[in-house]
Amino acid sequence: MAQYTRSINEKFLNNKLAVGWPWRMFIFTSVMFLAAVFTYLGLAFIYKPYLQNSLSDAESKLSNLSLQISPESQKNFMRFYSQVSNLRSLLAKHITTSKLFPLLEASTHQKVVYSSTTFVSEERALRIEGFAESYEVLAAQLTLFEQAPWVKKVVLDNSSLSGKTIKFGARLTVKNEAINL
Amino acid sequence: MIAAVVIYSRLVSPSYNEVQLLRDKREANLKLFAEQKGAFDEATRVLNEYQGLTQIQDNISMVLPNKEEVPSIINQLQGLAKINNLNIESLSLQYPPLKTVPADSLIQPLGTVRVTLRLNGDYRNLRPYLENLETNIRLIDVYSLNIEGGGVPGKTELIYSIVLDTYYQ
Repeated sequence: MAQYTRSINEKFLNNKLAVGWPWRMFIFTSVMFLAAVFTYLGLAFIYKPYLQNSLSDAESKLSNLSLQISPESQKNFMRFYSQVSNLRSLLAKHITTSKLFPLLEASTHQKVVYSSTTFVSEERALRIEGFAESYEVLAAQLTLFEQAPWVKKVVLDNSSLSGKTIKFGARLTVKNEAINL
Repeated sequence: MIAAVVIYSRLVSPSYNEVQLLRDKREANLKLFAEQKGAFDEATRVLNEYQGLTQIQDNISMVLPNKEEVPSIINQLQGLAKINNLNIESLSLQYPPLKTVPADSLIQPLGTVRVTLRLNGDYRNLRPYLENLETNIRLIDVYSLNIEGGGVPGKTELIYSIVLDTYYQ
């Protein structure tokens, strides 16, 4: 008899289990399903439109920024900026050729005269043609050039007897600091 | 359960990815806006300062005009020659090609008007003339200078060939 009762209990217990688990499973899956549906609805119909609005708002703010300065003001300002910038680079290489003449006069021997001088600022080159009373005077003149603090280099190109004087041609390279602003 | 998995994989997951993309884009835009706003505020400040610099702006335009302004060059050279007792024998103009600048540069290309001038007069007047050119309101650079006619006893009048560069942008 006991054997019979136990087997009935076991049978009922088994029946309880068989009915309870699917029910719980059903609730769990329903919750999961609803969570998935609400998440989708939330993402697709609330959060996504909010983000899109926010994005277009930021984009319009960005494009409005540049419109707040008139094109005329922008153009004028850029032209002014360019002028200042160009001027700065031009002034950096602006030279004062007039400084050269007192230097040349101070470095000229009393018995030397110049027939022509040519200065090319870009090369800092001063080409001199002139007459010296004698070769001693010419040598003294070249020494004066070599010792002059404003002269970087002296080259005697030619010299020849012309009447009673010596005709000569020389090239001098002038130091930057002698003629820079 | 299967419906939940299908909804998640087919709808929720792609929507989440889309939303994530939008969020990243919005973040990037907000960051860009903050940077641009900073630059805009700075530009507004500079522009306001610039509005108050009209006198300096006018002066700079006289030093470096926005076009060649050839009549003004000739007037200035002739005026300076006259006050220094030098006579202009000839004057010619050249327009070397514009110096190139990178396409995206804010700095406009610099133009040069090259003036070749032949003058005569006393040597003592040359130096003040050159000084006047060097300090003239319109920027002038002496490109080359040639003096001829020296070495003749008793002759004080010399011939000067001066090549000058003036600029515009």
